[in-house]
Amino acid sequence: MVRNYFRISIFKADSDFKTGEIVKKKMEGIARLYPEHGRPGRDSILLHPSRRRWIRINASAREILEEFWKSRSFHQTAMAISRRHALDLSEAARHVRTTVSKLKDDGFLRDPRSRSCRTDLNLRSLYLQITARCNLSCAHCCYSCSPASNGQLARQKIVELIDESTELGATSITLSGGEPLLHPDLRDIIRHAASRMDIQLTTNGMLIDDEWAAFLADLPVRIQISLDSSQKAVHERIRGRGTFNKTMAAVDRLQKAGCDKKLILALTMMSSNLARLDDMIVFAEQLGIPRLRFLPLRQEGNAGRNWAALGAKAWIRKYERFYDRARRPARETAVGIDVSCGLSGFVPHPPDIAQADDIWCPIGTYVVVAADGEAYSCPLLMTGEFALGSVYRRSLGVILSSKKWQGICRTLSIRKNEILRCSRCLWNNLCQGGCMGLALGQKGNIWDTDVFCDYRQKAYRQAFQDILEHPRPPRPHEPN
Amino acid sequence: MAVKPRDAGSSAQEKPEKKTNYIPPQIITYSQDEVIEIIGPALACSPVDCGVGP
Repeated sequence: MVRNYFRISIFKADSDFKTGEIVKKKMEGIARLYPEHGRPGRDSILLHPSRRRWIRINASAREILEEFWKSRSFHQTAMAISRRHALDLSEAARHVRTTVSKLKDDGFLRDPRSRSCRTDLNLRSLYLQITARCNLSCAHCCYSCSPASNGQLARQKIVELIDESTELGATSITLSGGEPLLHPDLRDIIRHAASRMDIQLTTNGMLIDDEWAAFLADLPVRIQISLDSSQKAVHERIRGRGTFNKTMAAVDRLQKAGCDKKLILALTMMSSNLARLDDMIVFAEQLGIPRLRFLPLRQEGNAGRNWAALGAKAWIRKYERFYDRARRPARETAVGIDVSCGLSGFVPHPPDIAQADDIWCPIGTYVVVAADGEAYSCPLLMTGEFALGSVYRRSLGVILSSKKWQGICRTLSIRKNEILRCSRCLWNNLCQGGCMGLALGQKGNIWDTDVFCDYRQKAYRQAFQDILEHPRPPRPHEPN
Repeated sequence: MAVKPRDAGSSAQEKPEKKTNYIPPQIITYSQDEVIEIIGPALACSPVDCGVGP
């Protein structure tokens, strides 16, 4: 077990302080500190015991916490601080009281056993693989889509899914494939969805002509275009001859039609493009693309079959070198676009943007429907074990209230404590066990971390070291 | 490494430090923008969007 916990038992009222009597476990906090060993005059990060929260504390605040950790009472703690720093007892007591009060206000003094759990129906998004057919046959496709693939969702079923999901609270939809532009009713589907939800279209762009560009420009559609390299030769080695110019022509058409703010480029990282990932950031910036996504290669479908050829050898270290560069501070990189580097579980955001249930993974907030109608909780969990039933036989409402759905949501909530390695990790409330979809693909088991666990721990340490080395002065409402 | 609590009886032997060295306790919270400013924007995942899924 992680042993750098502290535990605080707080007096119920001032009268208790006067008698020195502890009202045990009326309020209790167990939290963890980084760095594990405090240094005189240096700040520390205090990590919340169960939630994705942390705060920065100075050496004096840490000292007070460590006094509590020794099972000292409020009074004993104040005495120790007073004696050690030659303070008046009343002043030391005030410092102890304000520290505890701030911890309480920040939610660090609650029942440490309470755990956030995503169980309530909280549907926000629908992800539809509207067709399995694709105009390309990429060796790295995790769904093994090709021109020969069969299966597409019927227009009427898609309309029903849109209507039902919006009734259940969904406000956005992703239309994916295969290549979604091969669906004969795509325009009707987009028109129907556009009046109800934000739309994201994931496409290789090769079928986008002027007419499509004009159509998409008028509607609330974000267009994610797959581009695996800024270099034609590399992209075409991955996706086939003639693909680069067609995709780039689509980008140009969409920009000229007025879609420039709605474009996203997505690159899947593999051996043939790993060496020049940084170029892609510059390329996207020069093109005026507002958002760039680097997606990890998944060891499934065609990619699983072609794993050796796609560069599985040393891929983890190569990814990590890229992540090292991608995580450089904004002040050093001056990257002017939104870049997502695909390192799951690296979410060192502060408390103010946390979701109500504090879980970063979107599982439970969206439902995925494959081209054959089978529903899943995540595009990375599309295996028989995680199938939730066909939308041709069960309504979304029934699927989302099923025990299987709830079980997956519960799994999401408890993985960080149930995976032995995670339960011992200082960062488990931030990382939350990493991506369970990646863990399934990489290790065949969601009750394990993904292969970037060691790297994430290093990344968190570096991130918090950076934060500690760049102090922010207290705001007016943060006096001692 | 784990941090072991100091001996509960050690406080009696602690030497008082100079008062000028003592800084009152401070607890600081950060906003998202402040964290991004320090550690960079290239975060993999966000609470509203999956950084891994297609």
